[in-house]
This record gives sequence, C-alpha cells and structure tokens, in this order.
Amino acid sequence: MTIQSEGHTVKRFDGELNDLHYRIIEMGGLALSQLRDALQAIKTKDVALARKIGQRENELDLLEVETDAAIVELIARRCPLGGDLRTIMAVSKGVTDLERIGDEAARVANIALQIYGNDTSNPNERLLHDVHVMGQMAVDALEKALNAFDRSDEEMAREIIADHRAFEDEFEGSLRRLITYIMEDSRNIGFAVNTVLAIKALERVGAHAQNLAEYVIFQVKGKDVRHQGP
Amino acid sequence: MKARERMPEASFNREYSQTVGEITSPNSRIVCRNVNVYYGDKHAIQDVSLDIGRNEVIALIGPSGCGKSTFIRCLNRMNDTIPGCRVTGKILLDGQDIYDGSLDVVPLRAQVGMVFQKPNPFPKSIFENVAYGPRIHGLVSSKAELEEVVETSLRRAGLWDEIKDYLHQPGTSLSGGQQQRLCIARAIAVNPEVILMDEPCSALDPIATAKIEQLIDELRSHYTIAIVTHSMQQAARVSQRTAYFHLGRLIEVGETAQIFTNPRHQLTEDYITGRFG
Repeated sequence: MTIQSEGHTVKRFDGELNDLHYRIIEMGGLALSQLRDALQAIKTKDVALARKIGQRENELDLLEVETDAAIVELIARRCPLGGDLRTIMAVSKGVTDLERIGDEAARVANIALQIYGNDTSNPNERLLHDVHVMGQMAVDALEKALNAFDRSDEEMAREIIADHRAFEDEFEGSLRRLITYIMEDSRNIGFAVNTVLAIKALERVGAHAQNLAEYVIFQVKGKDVRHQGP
Repeated sequence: MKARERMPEASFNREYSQTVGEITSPNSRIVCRNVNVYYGDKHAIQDVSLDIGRNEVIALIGPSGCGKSTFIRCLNRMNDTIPGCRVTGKILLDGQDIYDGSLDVVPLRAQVGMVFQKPNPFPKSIFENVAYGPRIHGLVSSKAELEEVVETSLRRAGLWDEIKDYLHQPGTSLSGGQQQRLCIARAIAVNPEVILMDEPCSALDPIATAKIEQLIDELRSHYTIAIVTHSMQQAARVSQRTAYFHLGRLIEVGETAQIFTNPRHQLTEDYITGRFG
C-alpha cells in the first residue's frame, strides 16, 4: 500500500465535509457582503441600503443554525477523528464568528440609519474618516481570513494574526482622534458617539477575522494558538 | 474543491522505518525491543520496540493483518503454539526476559492473562471456570481460600452480583457479555500482572461493551492492560496510550488524545479518518 491520501472509504463522508465547507464559505460571503454594504451605506449616505442589511441579518442567523445542526448530525453519524475532527471543530467555531460579524455589520448599518435617517444635517466628514479607514481594514482582514479558511492556508492565517496589531493600533488612534474632536467642539458629541460605536463594531470584525485565522491553524496543524498575544 | 484536497499534507511524517512518537514509558512493566515475528517465510512483525507502563491501558489499532494480535500474543508467548512461528528480539516483563530458554511458560501465562475475541468459558460451572486456574497453579491451600478467590475475581470482573446465586450453573449458560466478564474473572483469578485483550467486545452489544469498558477502567488500578480493537471509539474511550500498526510495523505511538486528534504520521491519519483505499 502506498502512502497516498485518498478520499474517505465512505464517499458520502467526503460529500458531507464538502457540504460543510461550502456552508461556511457561503456564510463568509454573506457576512462580507453585509459588511461591505454597511460601509457603503455610511459612505454614500444610502439609508435604503442600510435598511436592507437589517433585513438580511436573519439569513446569516439561519445559516448558523443549519450549519450547527449539520455538524451535530455529522459528529453523531461519522464520529470524526484526526484532521476531520479538527476541520469540523474549526467550522463549528467559525460559523459563530461569522454570525457575529453579521451582527456587527448590522450595528454599523444601524449607525448609518441614525446618522442619516432622522437628521438632515450632515456629519463632520473628519469624524467619519476613521470609519472608512477601519472599515477597509476590516473588509481586507475578513476577505483574507475567508481565503485562508477556503484554502486551509496556514501561512496566510499567520499573516492575519500578525497584522492584527496594526488593526488594534488604528482603533486606539481613532479613539484618540475622536476624543480630540469632541474636546474641540462639543457639538460633535452626538456624531462622535455614533462613530465610536461604528469603529468598535469594526474592531470586533477584525477580532473575529483573527479568530477565523486561528481556527485555520488549528485545523491544519492541530495547534491552539488562541490567547498567545502578539 | 474536495475536502481532502484542502488539507495540506506536507507536515506529516511518511517514514515507514522508524516509529513516530515516544516508545518508552516512565513506569514500564513490559519492555519490547526490536521484536520480529516470522510465520515461516512471512515476516509478520518487523522490528517493533514499545514499552507498556504499569496501570496503563494501551490500545493497539490498525487494519486487519497489520500484526497487532500477533504482537500481543508475543507478550505471553501464545505464538509458541503456532507451528513455524519464530520470535526474535527482546521482551522483558518486570526486567525478566520472557523468551529466556529456561523460563516456564505456564506461570508466564498466569502472569500475563489473555481474553479473546469470542468468550471461551470452559464447559464447566461458573465457579469451576474461575477456580480452575488458582487450583492448578497451586495458589490456594483450602476450599475457603478458593471460594474467596472466586468471589473476589467475580467481583472485580463486575459479575458477582449478577451470578452469585447461580455459581454452579454452566458458564456457557451466561449471556455473551457475562461470558466475556467470566473469562476476565478467570484471568484475574490467577493474580496476573498484565491482561491482554484481543478484540474483547467485537461479539458484544453496546451495553455489554460498555460494561467491559467500565471494567477495563476499574482493572487499570491493579493491572497493566493491552487491548487490540478495531473500534477507534473504543480505543479512544479506554486507553491512555495508543499504538498504530501497519503491515507489521509500529508506525506511531502516543497519548491517545494526541493520536486521535492530531496524529503525526500520514498513515495513522489516513487510518483513523477512514481513508485507506
């Protein structure tokens, strides 16, 4: 017998694992588009788009529930071990992070509604600059994390974790700038609070992307790299 | 994209010739070094080295014909009974070479008891099944002592409460699971140090299997146990260490949790995940 990895002897198991993989990629795609749309709504003052995000949030919730059910069934039926077990655990944890990314996108969309929905006056663009910068960073991190998940790319996952420090630095810098704006002109307080909530939501997206990267490393290497600091 | 194609495999060890993992045990009761077994021209076990620790359950897993049963049968010289079988290398039990020409195999097989795939009670009463060993090995000097050994052995095998009122019924009248526990009681009765189990639950239903697994867990405090099993879940449930055999070689050995969650050899990964073609 040659040392050659093949599919499972039970071919249906391959199909079930592939199905699980497609589910998480589908969830990832949906979470990413929710996030992009939320940022677009803020950028283009598109209230209608912001409302759509809230309506679509249920789709991610439903996918999470369905994926969890599929995982429970797979564990009960196949008693997975080794790399299969790690893959399933990574997907199981990953779907939770993706659902939460969806929640954060909805939060950003709600902030867009608060900023543009009721008030006719436009916010100070300087205040929103940090939302645009952190938004792009969050989109990039999530996109990269989904690619790493799709390809089981350990190297890419390690890059995401290494890059996360810059994300945190940007978040802290944004907070300092917003405090300065508030101190300069107290009329900025309302918008500044909304902006803080938005960048906090985007910071959480970055943290969830980092979690996804950590699951990829666990899946590929069997090493738990969570909570190890930079 | 297929699931398997997504998993990078470069990090797996692919060497056949050297066992992956720690073959030694800090508290070894059995030490095997460079063990080879030949059935005539067939080289059934190739250069296997492995320690088995005190109060440890080690599970031996691998595909049919990989040599795991042959290997445990070396540990009490059961292979001596097979014509044309030749064993080389060293196997030490508490420092004593069990293949030393001057060693008497009868007390060895009492020291290293064995439980087989199919329960094989003697065609005698339940009491006599357990009493036979202590009697022929001269381990008891009175009827009262013999009765005590029988009761203790049946209690340790978790069978006493079920059969204490039927001790003089034939052993073969028991259910499959009870017969297997009777065989374990029979092995225990001669005061062994090691118990070898060759697929002890393969003929049992899940409830009887659970009782045997619970028993294995309890027996571990008194004995060293090596179990051959085809059930990955059973190996994961009952053992502290697991050894994976393939084509007569010991491919990988390690802590059971590590073997089943993060094996280091490609063959182990392929076997436990059901990928052998």
